[in-house]
Amino acid sequence: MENDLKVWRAKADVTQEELAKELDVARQTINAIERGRYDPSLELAFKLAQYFDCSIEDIFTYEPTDDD
Amino acid sequence: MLKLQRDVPIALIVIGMGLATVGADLVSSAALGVGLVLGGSALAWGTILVMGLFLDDRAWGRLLSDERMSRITYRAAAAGWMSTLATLVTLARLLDYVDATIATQHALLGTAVVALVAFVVGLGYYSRQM
Repeated sequence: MENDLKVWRAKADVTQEELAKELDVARQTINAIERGRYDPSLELAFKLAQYFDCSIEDIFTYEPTDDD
Repeated sequence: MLKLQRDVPIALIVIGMGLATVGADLVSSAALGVGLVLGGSALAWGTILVMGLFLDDRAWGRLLSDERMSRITYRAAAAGWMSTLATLVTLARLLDYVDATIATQHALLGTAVVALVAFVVGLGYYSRQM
């Protein structure tokens, strides 16, 4: 799973801390998502999409690997 | 950085366990030692009971503070629990053959240390991985 969360956050001009507070998660969680180390739950993905007023697919892209 | 509010449950458990083990070992009076064991155990068990019985995630402090931290905690707890079982199984039969002079209480304390270290190391490791 890949994402453009960092780009969306930069466009909205919000810090990781501010976004985390808005979505009721830790700043480290936003950081881990941006670095591709953590795939968020469906609920958090929806919250992110709602926050940026876009669809989940605009932020997250899923490309199956050979293992899938 | 230690944030007291979020780390209260862990701090209380560690203090309770510390008092019941190291604390009780250090005092000279036997009565005081028993008191520390009972008091420290009550503190640790009380905190664990509150965490276990109340469904509010806030009772777990930092451990269940958000979805990523919850996932890390579950993995670290599973790793700690399985390490504990493996240690118990190994010690249960091996002590007789290796060194029969090792007291049961020391073996149990060693197992507790393995459980605690496995959980804490697991938290640190998974925090960096995800």
